[in-house]
Amino acid sequence: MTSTSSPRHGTRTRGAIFAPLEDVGRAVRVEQRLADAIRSGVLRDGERLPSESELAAMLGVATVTAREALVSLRAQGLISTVRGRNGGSYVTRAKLHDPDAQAARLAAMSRVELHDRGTLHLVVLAGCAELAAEYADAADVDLLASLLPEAGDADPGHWRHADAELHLTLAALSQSARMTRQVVGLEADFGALLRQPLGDPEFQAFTRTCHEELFTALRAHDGDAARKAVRRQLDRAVDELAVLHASYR
Amino acid sequence: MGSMVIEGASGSASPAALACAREVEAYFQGVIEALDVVRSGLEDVCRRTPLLAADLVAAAHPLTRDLLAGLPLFGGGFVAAPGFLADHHLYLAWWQGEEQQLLAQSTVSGSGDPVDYSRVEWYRTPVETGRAHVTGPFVDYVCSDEYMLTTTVPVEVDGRIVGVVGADTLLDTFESLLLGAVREAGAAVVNQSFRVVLSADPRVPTGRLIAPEQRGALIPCGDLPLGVLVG
Repeated sequence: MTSTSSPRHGTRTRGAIFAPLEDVGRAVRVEQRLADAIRSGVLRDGERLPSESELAAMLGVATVTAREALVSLRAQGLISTVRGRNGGSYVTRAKLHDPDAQAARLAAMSRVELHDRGTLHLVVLAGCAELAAEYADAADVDLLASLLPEAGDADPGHWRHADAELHLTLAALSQSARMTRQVVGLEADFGALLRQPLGDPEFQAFTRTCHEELFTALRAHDGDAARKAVRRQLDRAVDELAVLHASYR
Repeated sequence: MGSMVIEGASGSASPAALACAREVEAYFQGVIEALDVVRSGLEDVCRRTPLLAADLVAAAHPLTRDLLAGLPLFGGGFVAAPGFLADHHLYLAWWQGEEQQLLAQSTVSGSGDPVDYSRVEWYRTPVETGRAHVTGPFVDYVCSDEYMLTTTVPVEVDGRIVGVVGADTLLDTFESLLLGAVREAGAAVVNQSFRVVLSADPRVPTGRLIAPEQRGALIPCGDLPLGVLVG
Protein backbone atom coordinates (compact mmCIF):
# COMPACT_ATOMS: atom_id res chain seq x y z
CA MET A 1 0.00 0.00 0.00
CA THR A 2 1.15 3.51 -0.58
CA SER A 3 0.37 6.92 0.85
CA THR A 4 0.99 6.64 4.55
CA SER A 5 0.20 9.78 6.43
CA SER A 6 2.90 11.09 8.67
CA PRO A 7 2.55 13.44 11.59
CA ARG A 8 3.44 16.96 10.61
CA HIS A 9 4.10 18.93 13.71
CA GLY A 10 4.43 22.68 13.85
CA THR A 11 8.18 22.65 14.22
CA ARG A 12 8.55 20.37 11.24
CA THR A 13 6.31 22.54 9.11
CA ARG A 14 8.39 25.57 10.04
CA GLY A 15 11.56 23.65 9.25
CA ALA A 16 10.17 22.68 5.83
CA ILE A 17 9.25 26.28 5.04
CA PHE A 18 12.80 27.44 5.58
CA ALA A 19 14.58 24.42 4.07
CA PRO A 20 16.51 24.94 0.83
CA LEU A 21 13.95 24.81 -1.97
CA GLU A 22 15.20 21.72 -3.77
CA ASP A 23 15.17 19.73 -0.51
CA VAL A 24 11.58 20.55 0.35
CA GLY A 25 9.60 17.33 0.44
CA ARG A 26 12.60 15.12 -0.14
CA ALA A 27 12.76 13.85 3.43
CA VAL A 28 9.06 13.05 3.26
CA ARG A 29 9.57 11.15 0.01
CA VAL A 30 12.53 9.21 1.41
CA GLU A 31 10.52 8.46 4.54
CA GLN A 32 7.46 7.33 2.58
CA ARG A 33 9.47 5.10 0.32
CA LEU A 34 11.13 3.38 3.27
CA ALA A 35 7.89 3.21 5.29
CA ASP A 36 6.09 1.59 2.35
CA ALA A 37 8.90 -0.90 1.94
CA ILE A 38 8.76 -1.81 5.64
CA ARG A 39 4.96 -2.04 5.84
CA SER A 40 4.76 -4.14 2.70
CA GLY A 41 7.49 -6.47 3.96
CA VAL A 42 9.96 -5.71 1.15
CA LEU A 43 12.37 -4.70 3.89
CA ARG A 44 12.28 -7.56 6.35
CA ASP A 45 11.92 -7.44 10.09
CA GLY A 46 15.34 -7.13 11.72
CA GLU A 47 17.04 -6.08 8.48
CA ARG A 48 19.74 -3.46 8.90
CA LEU A 49 19.27 -0.26 6.95
CA PRO A 50 22.22 1.51 5.31
CA SER A 51 23.77 4.27 7.41
CA GLU A 52 22.66 7.89 7.09
CA SER A 53 25.52 8.76 4.78
CA GLU A 54 25.12 5.58 2.71
CA LEU A 55 21.38 6.22 2.36
CA ALA A 56 22.05 9.82 1.39
CA ALA A 57 24.51 8.75 -1.30
CA MET A 58 22.23 5.99 -2.64
CA LEU A 59 19.18 8.22 -2.87
CA GLY A 60 21.06 11.33 -3.97
CA VAL A 61 19.93 13.50 -1.07
CA ALA A 62 21.75 15.45 1.62
CA THR A 63 22.77 13.54 4.75
CA VAL A 64 20.57 15.83 6.82
CA THR A 65 17.61 14.84 4.64
CA ALA A 66 18.27 11.13 5.17
CA ARG A 67 18.61 11.79 8.89
CA GLU A 68 15.28 13.59 8.99
CA ALA A 69 13.56 10.64 7.28
CA LEU A 70 15.11 8.18 9.76
CA VAL A 71 14.00 10.30 12.72
CA SER A 72 10.44 10.18 11.47
CA LEU A 73 10.54 6.42 10.85
CA ARG A 74 11.84 5.95 14.38
CA ALA A 75 8.99 8.09 15.76
CA GLN A 76 6.54 5.83 13.93
CA GLY A 77 8.17 2.77 15.50
CA LEU A 78 9.12 1.34 12.11
CA ILE A 79 12.85 1.27 12.83
CA SER A 80 14.93 1.22 15.97
CA THR A 81 18.44 2.49 16.30
CA VAL A 82 21.14 0.64 18.18
CA ARG A 83 24.34 2.39 19.23
CA GLY A 84 27.81 0.85 19.40
CA ARG A 85 29.98 -1.26 17.13
CA ASN A 86 27.12 -3.23 15.58
CA GLY A 87 24.98 -0.14 15.74
CA GLY A 88 22.69 1.16 13.05
CA SER A 89 19.03 1.33 12.18
CA TYR A 90 17.04 -1.91 12.09
CA VAL A 91 13.59 -2.60 10.69
CA THR A 92 11.11 -3.34 13.48
CA ARG A 93 8.13 -4.50 11.50
CA ALA A 94 7.17 -6.93 14.28
CA LYS A 95 6.20 -3.93 16.36
CA LEU A 96 3.26 -3.39 14.06
CA HIS A 97 1.69 -6.39 15.84
CA ASP A 98 3.42 -6.29 19.21
CA PRO A 99 0.80 -5.89 21.99
CA ASP A 100 3.38 -4.33 24.34
CA ALA A 101 4.25 -1.69 21.76
CA GLN A 102 0.54 -0.97 21.26
CA ALA A 103 0.01 -0.75 25.02
CA ALA A 104 2.96 1.62 25.33
CA ARG A 105 1.61 3.79 22.54
CA LEU A 106 -1.81 3.90 24.13
CA ALA A 107 -0.38 4.71 27.56
CA ALA A 108 1.60 7.60 26.09
CA MET A 109 -1.55 9.13 24.62
CA SER A 110 -3.73 11.59 26.46
CA ARG A 111 -7.45 10.95 26.82
CA VAL A 112 -8.05 14.03 24.67
CA GLU A 113 -5.85 12.68 21.88
CA LEU A 114 -7.60 9.33 21.97
CA HIS A 115 -11.03 10.90 21.53
CA ASP A 116 -9.66 13.32 18.95
CA ARG A 117 -8.40 10.45 16.79
CA GLY A 118 -11.56 8.43 17.46
CA THR A 119 -13.74 11.32 16.24
CA LEU A 120 -11.85 11.71 12.97
CA HIS A 121 -12.05 7.96 12.34
CA LEU A 122 -15.74 7.88 13.11
CA VAL A 123 -16.78 10.82 10.95
CA VAL A 124 -14.79 9.63 7.94
CA LEU A 125 -15.96 6.02 8.08
CA ALA A 126 -19.59 6.88 8.81
CA GLY A 127 -19.45 9.17 5.77
CA CYS A 128 -17.97 6.37 3.65
CA ALA A 129 -20.81 4.08 4.78
CA GLU A 130 -23.43 6.65 3.77
CA LEU A 131 -21.93 7.00 0.28
CA ALA A 132 -21.38 3.25 -0.04
CA ALA A 133 -25.12 2.74 0.51
CA GLU A 134 -25.69 4.77 -2.63
CA TYR A 135 -22.95 3.23 -4.74
CA ALA A 136 -22.66 -0.43 -3.67
CA ASP A 137 -24.33 -3.19 -5.63
CA ALA A 138 -25.19 -6.67 -4.36
CA ALA A 139 -21.80 -8.14 -5.38
CA ASP A 140 -19.97 -5.39 -3.47
CA VAL A 141 -21.94 -6.20 -0.31
CA ASP A 142 -21.33 -9.93 -0.79
CA LEU A 143 -17.58 -9.23 -0.89
CA LEU A 144 -17.80 -7.13 2.29
CA ALA A 145 -19.80 -9.83 4.06
CA SER A 146 -17.30 -12.51 3.04
CA LEU A 147 -14.61 -10.65 5.01
CA LEU A 148 -16.25 -11.35 8.40
CA PRO A 149 -14.67 -14.24 10.33
CA GLU A 150 -16.68 -17.48 10.40
CA ALA A 151 -19.07 -18.03 13.30
CA GLY A 152 -17.10 -19.53 16.18
CA ASP A 153 -13.80 -17.98 15.10
CA ALA A 154 -12.63 -15.93 18.09
CA ASP A 155 -9.02 -15.47 16.99
CA PRO A 156 -8.16 -11.80 17.75
CA GLY A 157 -5.75 -11.65 14.79
CA HIS A 158 -8.44 -12.82 12.37
CA TRP A 159 -10.90 -10.29 13.75
CA ARG A 160 -8.47 -7.37 13.60
CA HIS A 161 -7.42 -8.18 10.05
CA ALA A 162 -11.03 -8.70 8.90
CA ASP A 163 -12.18 -5.45 10.49
CA ALA A 164 -9.31 -3.47 8.93
CA GLU A 165 -9.95 -4.92 5.49
CA LEU A 166 -13.67 -4.29 5.88
CA HIS A 167 -13.10 -0.60 6.61
CA LEU A 168 -10.75 -0.25 3.66
CA THR A 169 -13.22 -1.97 1.34
CA LEU A 170 -16.03 0.23 2.64
CA ALA A 171 -13.93 3.32 1.92
CA ALA A 172 -13.29 2.09 -1.63
CA LEU A 173 -17.05 1.78 -2.16
CA SER A 174 -17.28 5.57 -1.88
CA GLN A 175 -15.80 5.46 -5.43
CA SER A 176 -13.27 8.10 -4.36
CA ALA A 177 -9.57 7.29 -4.52
CA ARG A 178 -8.71 10.28 -2.34
CA MET A 179 -11.18 9.16 0.33
CA THR A 180 -9.70 5.66 0.23
CA ARG A 181 -6.16 6.97 0.63
CA GLN A 182 -7.36 9.08 3.54
CA VAL A 183 -8.69 5.96 5.23
CA VAL A 184 -5.44 4.09 4.47
CA GLY A 185 -3.64 6.88 6.32
CA LEU A 186 -6.07 6.82 9.25
CA GLU A 187 -5.75 3.05 9.49
CA ALA A 188 -1.96 3.19 9.52
CA ASP A 189 -2.16 5.81 12.24
CA PHE A 190 -4.85 4.58 14.62
CA GLY A 191 -6.27 1.33 13.22
CA ALA A 192 -4.11 -1.05 15.26
CA LEU A 193 -5.05 0.71 18.51
CA LEU A 194 -8.73 0.94 17.70
CA ARG A 195 -8.79 -2.83 17.18
CA GLN A 196 -7.24 -3.73 20.52
CA PRO A 197 -10.74 -4.33 22.01
CA LEU A 198 -11.40 -6.95 19.31
CA GLY A 199 -9.54 -9.48 21.46
CA ASP A 200 -12.70 -9.74 23.59
CA PRO A 201 -15.23 -12.32 22.27
CA GLU A 202 -18.14 -10.27 23.57
CA PHE A 203 -16.97 -7.24 21.61
CA GLN A 204 -16.43 -9.50 18.60
CA ALA A 205 -20.09 -10.56 18.81
CA PHE A 206 -21.19 -6.92 19.09
CA THR A 207 -19.01 -6.02 16.10
CA ARG A 208 -20.54 -8.85 14.07
CA THR A 209 -24.04 -7.56 14.83
CA CYS A 210 -23.11 -4.02 13.78
CA HIS A 211 -21.42 -5.16 10.57
CA GLU A 212 -24.44 -7.30 9.69
CA GLU A 213 -26.67 -4.27 10.23
CA LEU A 214 -24.35 -2.38 7.90
CA PHE A 215 -24.63 -5.05 5.19
CA THR A 216 -28.44 -5.00 5.45
CA ALA A 217 -28.45 -1.20 5.19
CA LEU A 218 -26.13 -1.25 2.16
CA ARG A 219 -28.31 -3.83 0.40
CA ALA A 220 -31.35 -1.61 1.03
CA HIS A 221 -29.43 1.48 -0.18
CA ASP A 222 -30.29 3.03 3.19
CA GLY A 223 -27.56 5.61 3.86
CA ASP A 224 -28.86 6.65 7.28
CA ALA A 225 -28.95 3.10 8.59
CA ALA A 226 -25.47 2.40 7.15
CA ARG A 227 -24.06 5.47 8.87
CA LYS A 228 -25.69 4.49 12.17
CA ALA A 229 -24.36 0.91 12.04
CA VAL A 230 -20.77 2.09 11.53
CA ARG A 231 -21.15 4.74 14.18
CA ARG A 232 -22.51 2.25 16.73
CA GLN A 233 -19.54 -0.07 16.26
CA LEU A 234 -16.91 2.67 16.33
CA ASP A 235 -18.47 4.47 19.32
CA ARG A 236 -18.25 1.29 21.33
CA ALA A 237 -14.70 0.58 20.08
CA VAL A 238 -13.56 4.01 21.26
CA ASP A 239 -15.37 3.48 24.60
CA GLU A 240 -13.64 0.14 25.13
CA LEU A 241 -10.31 1.64 24.16
CA ALA A 242 -10.84 4.54 26.57
CA VAL A 243 -11.51 2.10 29.42
CA LEU A 244 -8.35 0.17 28.50
CA HIS A 245 -6.47 3.46 28.33
CA ALA A 246 -7.69 4.46 31.81
CA SER A 247 -6.38 1.16 33.20
CA TYR A 248 -2.84 2.09 32.05
CA ARG A 249 -2.77 5.47 33.71
CA MET B 1 -21.24 -11.70 -15.70
CA GLY B 2 -24.15 -12.80 -17.81
CA SER B 3 -26.42 -10.28 -16.12
CA MET B 4 -26.15 -7.85 -18.97
CA VAL B 5 -29.60 -7.21 -20.37
CA ILE B 6 -29.47 -6.23 -23.99
CA GLU B 7 -32.52 -4.17 -24.70
CA GLY B 8 -33.36 -2.59 -28.00
CA ALA B 9 -31.97 -3.76 -31.30
CA SER B 10 -28.80 -2.14 -32.56
CA GLY B 11 -30.93 -1.00 -35.50
CA SER B 12 -32.44 1.76 -33.35
CA ALA B 13 -29.04 2.94 -32.09
CA SER B 14 -27.41 5.97 -33.66
CA PRO B 15 -24.21 5.55 -35.69
CA ALA B 16 -22.42 7.67 -33.06
CA ALA B 17 -23.51 5.29 -30.27
CA LEU B 18 -22.37 2.27 -32.28
CA ALA B 19 -19.06 3.96 -33.00
CA CYS B 20 -18.63 4.69 -29.29
CA ALA B 21 -19.22 1.02 -28.41
CA ARG B 22 -16.69 -0.02 -31.06
CA GLU B 23 -14.14 2.44 -29.71
CA VAL B 24 -14.49 1.11 -26.15
CA GLU B 25 -14.19 -2.45 -27.46
CA ALA B 26 -11.13 -1.58 -29.55
CA TYR B 27 -9.34 -0.03 -26.59
CA PHE B 28 -9.80 -3.05 -24.34
CA GLN B 29 -9.14 -5.54 -27.15
CA GLY B 30 -5.79 -3.77 -27.57
CA VAL B 31 -5.07 -4.22 -23.87
CA ILE B 32 -6.12 -7.89 -23.96
CA GLU B 33 -3.89 -8.58 -26.99
CA ALA B 34 -0.94 -6.95 -25.23
CA LEU B 35 -1.68 -9.04 -22.13
CA ASP B 36 -1.70 -12.19 -24.26
CA VAL B 37 1.90 -11.38 -25.23
CA VAL B 38 2.85 -11.18 -21.54
CA ARG B 39 0.91 -14.36 -20.78
CA SER B 40 2.61 -16.46 -23.46
CA GLY B 41 5.98 -14.96 -22.53
CA LEU B 42 5.53 -16.25 -18.98
CA GLU B 43 4.53 -19.82 -19.82
CA ASP B 44 8.06 -21.23 -19.67
CA VAL B 45 9.00 -19.75 -16.33
CA CYS B 46 5.64 -20.92 -14.90
CA ARG B 47 6.61 -24.54 -15.64
CA ARG B 48 9.70 -24.29 -13.41
CA THR B 49 9.41 -26.09 -10.06
CA PRO B 50 9.96 -24.88 -7.49
CA LEU B 51 9.25 -21.41 -8.83
CA LEU B 52 10.58 -18.55 -6.71
CA ALA B 53 9.34 -14.96 -6.71
CA ALA B 54 12.75 -13.72 -7.88
CA ASP B 55 12.61 -15.93 -11.01
CA LEU B 56 9.10 -14.77 -11.76
CA VAL B 57 10.09 -11.12 -11.35
CA ALA B 58 13.09 -11.57 -13.64
CA ALA B 59 10.89 -13.04 -16.38
CA ALA B 60 7.93 -10.70 -15.92
CA HIS B 61 9.83 -7.42 -15.66
CA PRO B 62 10.90 -6.96 -19.31
CA LEU B 63 7.52 -8.21 -20.56
CA THR B 64 5.68 -5.75 -18.31
CA ARG B 65 8.01 -2.92 -19.32
CA ASP B 66 7.05 -3.47 -22.96
CA LEU B 67 3.37 -3.69 -22.01
CA LEU B 68 3.45 -0.37 -20.13
CA ALA B 69 5.51 1.35 -22.83
CA GLY B 70 3.03 0.43 -25.57
CA LEU B 71 -0.26 1.60 -24.02
CA PRO B 72 -1.45 4.42 -21.75
CA LEU B 73 -1.52 2.16 -18.67
CA PHE B 74 -0.86 3.01 -15.04
CA GLY B 75 0.47 -0.42 -14.11
CA GLY B 76 0.46 -4.09 -14.92
CA GLY B 77 2.03 -7.47 -14.42
CA PHE B 78 1.35 -10.98 -13.17
CA VAL B 79 -0.50 -11.94 -9.99
CA ALA B 80 0.23 -15.45 -8.75
CA ALA B 81 -2.48 -17.90 -7.71
CA PRO B 82 -2.32 -18.36 -3.92
CA GLY B 83 0.24 -21.07 -3.18
CA PHE B 84 1.68 -21.16 -6.72
CA LEU B 85 5.08 -19.73 -5.76
CA ALA B 86 7.36 -21.76 -3.53
CA ASP B 87 8.46 -18.85 -1.36
CA HIS B 88 5.38 -16.57 -1.11
CA HIS B 89 1.77 -17.62 -0.61
CA LEU B 90 0.51 -14.38 -2.20
CA TYR B 91 2.59 -12.43 -4.69
CA LEU B 92 2.15 -9.62 -7.20
CA ALA B 93 4.86 -9.25 -9.87
CA TRP B 94 3.21 -5.93 -10.64
CA TRP B 95 4.81 -2.63 -11.66
CA GLN B 96 3.04 0.70 -11.46
CA GLY B 97 3.30 4.45 -11.35
CA GLU B 98 5.67 6.85 -12.99
CA GLU B 99 8.68 5.07 -11.53
CA GLN B 100 7.26 1.62 -12.30
CA GLN B 101 7.73 0.40 -8.77
CA LEU B 102 7.42 -3.30 -8.00
CA LEU B 103 4.48 -4.03 -5.70
CA ALA B 104 5.46 -7.58 -4.56
CA GLN B 105 3.08 -7.81 -1.62
CA SER B 106 0.09 -5.78 -0.58
CA THR B 107 -0.89 -5.37 3.06
CA VAL B 108 -3.93 -4.05 4.85
CA SER B 109 -3.14 -0.79 6.51
CA GLY B 110 -3.88 -1.04 10.23
CA SER B 111 -3.37 -4.80 10.52
CA GLY B 112 -0.22 -5.16 8.39
CA ASP B 113 -1.44 -8.54 7.10
CA PRO B 114 -1.33 -9.39 3.39
CA VAL B 115 -4.46 -8.73 1.35
CA ASP B 116 -5.99 -11.95 0.05
CA TYR B 117 -6.72 -10.82 -3.49
CA SER B 118 -8.21 -14.17 -4.51
CA ARG B 119 -11.73 -12.98 -3.67
CA VAL B 120 -11.66 -9.67 -5.52
CA GLU B 121 -13.35 -9.39 -8.88
CA TRP B 122 -10.27 -8.72 -11.03
CA TYR B 123 -8.69 -11.96 -9.81
CA ARG B 124 -11.72 -14.18 -9.24
CA THR B 125 -13.74 -13.55 -12.39
CA PRO B 126 -11.12 -14.41 -15.06
CA VAL B 127 -10.06 -17.44 -13.02
CA GLU B 128 -13.65 -18.69 -12.70
CA THR B 129 -14.71 -18.01 -16.28
CA GLY B 130 -11.39 -18.76 -17.99
CA ARG B 131 -11.83 -15.54 -19.99
CA ALA B 132 -10.54 -11.99 -20.10
CA HIS B 133 -12.41 -9.59 -17.84
CA VAL B 134 -12.60 -5.86 -17.23
CA THR B 135 -13.24 -4.84 -13.60
CA GLY B 136 -14.36 -1.40 -12.61
CA PRO B 137 -14.71 1.42 -12.17
CA PHE B 138 -13.43 0.68 -8.66
CA VAL B 139 -10.95 2.10 -6.18
CA ASP B 140 -8.14 -0.42 -6.22
CA TYR B 141 -6.88 -0.57 -2.65
CA VAL B 142 -4.85 -3.73 -3.28
CA CYS B 143 -2.44 -2.34 -5.88
CA SER B 144 -2.57 1.32 -6.72
CA ASP B 145 -4.97 3.20 -4.40
CA GLU B 146 -6.34 4.74 -7.60
CA TYR B 147 -9.68 4.77 -9.40
CA MET B 148 -9.28 2.09 -12.00
CA LEU B 149 -10.45 -0.10 -14.82
CA THR B 150 -8.48 -3.32 -14.53
CA THR B 151 -8.20 -5.78 -17.40
CA THR B 152 -7.20 -9.30 -16.38
CA VAL B 153 -6.58 -12.49 -18.34
CA PRO B 154 -6.22 -15.93 -16.72
CA VAL B 155 -2.90 -17.74 -17.11
CA GLU B 156 -3.25 -21.47 -17.56
CA VAL B 157 -0.22 -23.70 -17.79
CA ASP B 158 -0.59 -27.47 -18.38
CA GLY B 159 -4.26 -27.36 -17.45
CA ARG B 160 -3.72 -25.48 -14.21
CA ILE B 161 -4.56 -21.82 -13.46
CA VAL B 162 -1.36 -20.29 -12.07
CA GLY B 163 -2.51 -16.67 -11.83
CA VAL B 164 -3.66 -13.74 -13.92
CA VAL B 165 -1.89 -11.15 -16.03
CA GLY B 166 -3.41 -7.71 -15.84
CA ALA B 167 -3.19 -4.06 -16.71
CA ASP B 168 -4.61 -0.96 -15.02
CA THR B 169 -6.20 1.90 -16.91
CA LEU B 170 -6.85 5.00 -14.80
CA LEU B 171 -10.39 6.37 -15.11
CA ASP B 172 -8.67 9.71 -15.79
CA THR B 173 -7.03 8.16 -18.85
CA PHE B 174 -10.20 6.45 -20.02
CA GLU B 175 -12.05 9.75 -19.73
CA SER B 176 -9.51 11.59 -21.84
CA LEU B 177 -9.57 8.85 -24.49
CA LEU B 178 -13.33 8.30 -24.73
CA LEU B 179 -15.07 11.52 -23.67
CA GLY B 180 -15.29 12.77 -27.25
CA ALA B 181 -17.00 9.60 -28.48
CA VAL B 182 -19.30 9.44 -25.46
CA ARG B 183 -20.40 13.05 -25.95
CA GLU B 184 -20.90 12.51 -29.65
CA ALA B 185 -23.17 9.57 -28.81
CA GLY B 186 -24.95 11.42 -25.99
CA ALA B 187 -24.65 8.15 -24.10
CA ALA B 188 -23.04 6.52 -21.08
CA VAL B 189 -20.55 3.67 -20.96
CA VAL B 190 -21.64 1.30 -18.17
CA ASN B 191 -20.36 -1.99 -16.80
CA GLN B 192 -22.36 -5.18 -16.31
CA SER B 193 -23.82 -3.83 -13.04
CA PHE B 194 -25.02 -0.72 -14.88
CA ARG B 195 -22.40 1.29 -13.01
CA VAL B 196 -21.37 4.39 -14.97
CA VAL B 197 -17.86 4.27 -16.43
CA LEU B 198 -18.23 7.56 -18.31
CA SER B 199 -21.33 9.60 -19.09
CA ALA B 200 -22.04 12.34 -21.59
CA ASP B 201 -24.13 14.00 -18.86
CA PRO B 202 -21.69 16.00 -16.71
CA ARG B 203 -24.00 15.62 -13.69
CA VAL B 204 -23.69 11.83 -13.69
CA PRO B 205 -20.39 10.92 -12.06
CA THR B 206 -18.33 7.84 -12.80
CA GLY B 207 -19.23 5.12 -10.32
CA ARG B 208 -22.96 5.85 -10.03
CA LEU B 209 -25.41 2.98 -10.47
CA ILE B 210 -28.16 3.50 -13.04
CA ALA B 211 -31.50 2.45 -11.54
CA PRO B 212 -33.48 -0.18 -13.52
CA GLU B 213 -36.25 2.30 -14.38
CA GLN B 214 -33.70 4.70 -15.90
CA ARG B 215 -32.04 2.22 -18.21
CA GLY B 216 -32.51 2.77 -21.93
CA ALA B 217 -31.22 0.55 -24.71
CA LEU B 218 -27.83 -1.06 -24.27
CA ILE B 219 -25.31 -1.65 -27.03
CA PRO B 220 -22.80 -4.28 -25.96
CA CYS B 221 -19.07 -3.60 -26.47
CA GLY B 222 -18.27 -6.95 -28.11
CA ASP B 223 -17.75 -9.70 -25.51
CA LEU B 224 -16.63 -7.24 -22.85
CA PRO B 225 -18.66 -6.77 -19.66
CA LEU B 226 -19.28 -3.21 -20.83
CA GLY B 227 -21.95 -1.52 -22.87
CA VAL B 228 -23.11 1.84 -24.16
CA LEU B 229 -26.40 2.97 -22.67
CA VAL B 230 -28.47 5.24 -24.92
CA GLY B 231 -31.69 7.13 -24.27
